[in-house]
Amino acid sequence: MSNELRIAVSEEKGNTPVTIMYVSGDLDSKTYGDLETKASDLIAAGAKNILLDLHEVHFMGSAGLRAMHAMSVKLKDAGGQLKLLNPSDPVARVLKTLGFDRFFDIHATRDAALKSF
Amino acid sequence: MLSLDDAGQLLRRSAFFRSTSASAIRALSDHSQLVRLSAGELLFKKGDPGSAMYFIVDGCVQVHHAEMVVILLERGEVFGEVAALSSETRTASVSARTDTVLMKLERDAIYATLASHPDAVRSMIEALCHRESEVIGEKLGRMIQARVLEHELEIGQKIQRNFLPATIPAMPGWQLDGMLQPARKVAGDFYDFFMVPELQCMGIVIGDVCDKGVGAALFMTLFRSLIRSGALFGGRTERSAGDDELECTLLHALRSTNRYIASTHRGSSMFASVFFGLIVPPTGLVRYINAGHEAPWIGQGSGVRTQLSTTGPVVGLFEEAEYEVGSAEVRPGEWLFAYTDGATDAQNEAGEAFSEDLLRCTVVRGAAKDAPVLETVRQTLAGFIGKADQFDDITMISARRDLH
Repeated sequence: MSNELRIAVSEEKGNTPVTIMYVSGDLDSKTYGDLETKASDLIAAGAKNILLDLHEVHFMGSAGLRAMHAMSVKLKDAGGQLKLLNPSDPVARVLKTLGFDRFFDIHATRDAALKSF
Repeated sequence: MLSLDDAGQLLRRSAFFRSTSASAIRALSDHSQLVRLSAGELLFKKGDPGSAMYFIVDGCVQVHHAEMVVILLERGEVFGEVAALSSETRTASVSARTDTVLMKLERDAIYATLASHPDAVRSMIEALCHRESEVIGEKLGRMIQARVLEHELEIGQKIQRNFLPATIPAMPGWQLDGMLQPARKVAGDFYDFFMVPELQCMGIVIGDVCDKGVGAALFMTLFRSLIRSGALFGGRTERSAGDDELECTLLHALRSTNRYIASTHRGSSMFASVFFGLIVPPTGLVRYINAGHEAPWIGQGSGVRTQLSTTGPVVGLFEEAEYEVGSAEVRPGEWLFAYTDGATDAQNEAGEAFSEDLLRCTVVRGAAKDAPVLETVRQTLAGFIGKADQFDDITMISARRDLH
């Protein structure tokens, strides 16, 4: 059973503008499309740097990982970056086992994450 | 404002009322009401009870189920007859696509008119039968299409078998075994056994392409082929003497596969977890790379002695990925067992997962018997899953070293 995915967005207008996506629920084969669509919309509207807050994500399957990779490729091509914030324990475990932790910037706090852009 | 005469004329043009007499048409329009909808407005939902049939005077409506649009209907067409003429509920939802004007005919009025105008009955039955034959025709078309697709998938399944070892190679002093149970017709998991003659060692591979179904199956063939090709051909001539040949072969195979897929297929974000080992049969030495895959076990009668943890990230996403080569030994009498998460994630009818612990016990117990381990595990899994759907591809390999 998959929980719905909920996504909230906020814009940080610091030295480098960053769009924060707060994701909660399960990121699996049923819900990854929502994440991709929302990210595409934001990128089409001009977002270049996105921070994904993963603290409230209970489950991350391969579909979610693929969606994240696809987002980071799109942003890189546009000269920006995708970074990750404070993943929940199950998500942190998956990121480590599959080796994502070496290729994605993962920060524990919002401030540290925003400063790193 | 539409006059009754105009309304009658319009009704007459529709298939439902074409052969209806003028007096029947007049009776119907007398009892009709005009309904106006603005673009996007929902008229009724699938499953709602209903008692009215509608005739489109002007505009366009869409017949749909949630986001799926079945058909668009325009001026002169009729809909809603099923719920109006029977006790069935609305067969689909209807919303206005543009601003629309409808003529609404209520059930009581329709039946009263039909009772006094038998010609109208005939016309209506004709129209209903025509609709039914159209629906049956469409259903047959769909069944034929489904059968064609099923046939294509079966062909795909046969071809995919060519990408798995047709027979497990013989290795003196060892028993090798592998099995793959796809969740769908085609699988995203793979395993491989192949001799590397120049190194006098046996390559063993197990992999799991993300997701499942046709997409994963297509990439499965690519991963499997690139790894095998990378291990058998290439890399060795560029090295200087003294380099560890097993290590170089493993690194070349996995690095080249990873770089190829991460760059060439960057846009698809497909990846696979892979365990690739090279076994030296006389000594039991295993050099391996574990790219994000479930750690294989080496064990004997009393349990698992060691596990071969990851030495690098999954394959196909990160071009710059670095891999390390691990080292292990399968001693005489011991076995190496590897699996994909389809085995540990397998669910029974109660929704419980088989789990790593249970798999470990099953393997240890099975290895202690004389029968092939994989068959024991397969049977235990089948018993556990019962009538539940198999959710993911289940793949296992084992390499068992003789005691003497």
